[in-house]
Amino acid sequence: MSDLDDVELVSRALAGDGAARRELGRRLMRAVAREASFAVARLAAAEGRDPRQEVKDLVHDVLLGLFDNDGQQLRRWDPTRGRSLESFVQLIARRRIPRMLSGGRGNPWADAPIDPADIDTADDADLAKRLEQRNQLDQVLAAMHAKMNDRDHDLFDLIFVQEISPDAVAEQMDMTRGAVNAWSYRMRKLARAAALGAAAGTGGASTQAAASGGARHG
Amino acid sequence: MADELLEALGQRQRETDAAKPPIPLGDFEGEAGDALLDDMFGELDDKARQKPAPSESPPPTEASPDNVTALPKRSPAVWAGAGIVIAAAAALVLWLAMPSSIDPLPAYGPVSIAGGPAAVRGDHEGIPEVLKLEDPSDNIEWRFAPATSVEGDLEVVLSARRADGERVFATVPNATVTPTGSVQLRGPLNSFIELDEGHWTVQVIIARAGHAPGSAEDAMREDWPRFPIEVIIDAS
Repeated sequence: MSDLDDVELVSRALAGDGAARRELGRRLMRAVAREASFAVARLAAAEGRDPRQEVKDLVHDVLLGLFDNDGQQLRRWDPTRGRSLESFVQLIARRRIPRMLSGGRGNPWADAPIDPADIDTADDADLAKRLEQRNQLDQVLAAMHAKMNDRDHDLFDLIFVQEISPDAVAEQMDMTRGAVNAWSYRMRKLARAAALGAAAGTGGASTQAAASGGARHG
Repeated sequence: MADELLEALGQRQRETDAAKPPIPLGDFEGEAGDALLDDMFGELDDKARQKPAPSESPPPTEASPDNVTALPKRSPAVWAGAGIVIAAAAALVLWLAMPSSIDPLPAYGPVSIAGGPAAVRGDHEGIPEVLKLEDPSDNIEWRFAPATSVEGDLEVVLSARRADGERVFATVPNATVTPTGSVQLRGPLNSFIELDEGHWTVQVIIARAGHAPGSAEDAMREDWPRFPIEVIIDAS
């Protein structure tokens, strides 16, 4: 199905067309379930919960959030920004699910205060190696996804997942090279904070300054 | 290499994207999937039916004399890096526009807007509207307080527009939020948002967690309450 067809589908579904709404729900349910599956697999074993039920509950809640408030979240999808409908919804789920699994606390790995000085002096290669050895990269990724905005997700995907050169990304995203560098600097600090917390066994993702905040109360 | 950690995370994301879901997705196909959708859409429709009719006192969505509240005076804040001391005060800006199902936030006002070696005083009492920085990494301290204590998680986003039209949007996960809901951004400006040299209007938007704008376009489209700060980055 083309993006234009999907635009029409979303438009009809949110205008009250019951058949379109159900078709859209089926499409999005699978994309959300995939994200929920990975997130729950990381946590459920440790918490002794039924993972299948956990995934179902998360899918229900994420879908409800997508359609609620007159589909405000879904109306944000703009195919001209380069993401398919499923990819857009996956990103929303990737950000929201960690919050849900933590009972709305922000994300389940965000509680450990990390000294900002440690973030500045951390050795990235050493951190990456320690995380790989402990299978904690997923934990750090989840903490970061919960903190990133749409643009952060796009840039992370282009530069570090698709491995497109920063120069080409700057052109594609209509940014200066300096702005891409500044973004990388901010992401590096965010990743280090999450990694230091995980490596310390606490999984924290917030700096000391953010321990009382990180955009959440403390 | 400086980005080895981010590169390792990118590689892990690629592996995850290519992997089979660890928990089978059979519950979302056929009749099982339809049952889940029935449940979800049923809840959605029930919620829609329970919403009050438009004539029943809709929540205010725009600033008006009735919903603008003055902030109490607060103690002066000392900005060590820039040596700027700004006393609290400020008339309140906007009522927060939120979906009707969200507990609305009280109005927020600026307590301290400081940064860089110099600040130019604006119209607000004791609050500079224009900050002059020599570098994007110069320290800032921006503090905002709610008219009444706020409970629950908050989200802070910055939406900036340069004089030539370039826009930059950033969520601020490293904002400090006090137990009463005051918000502080303290540290290098580029740890919160990446701005190049130029004259920027930075809009600070505070919202309930999960209900903030997700992009520059959203921040422009929606009637979000915001506090504008002019930031001039000029190394010359």
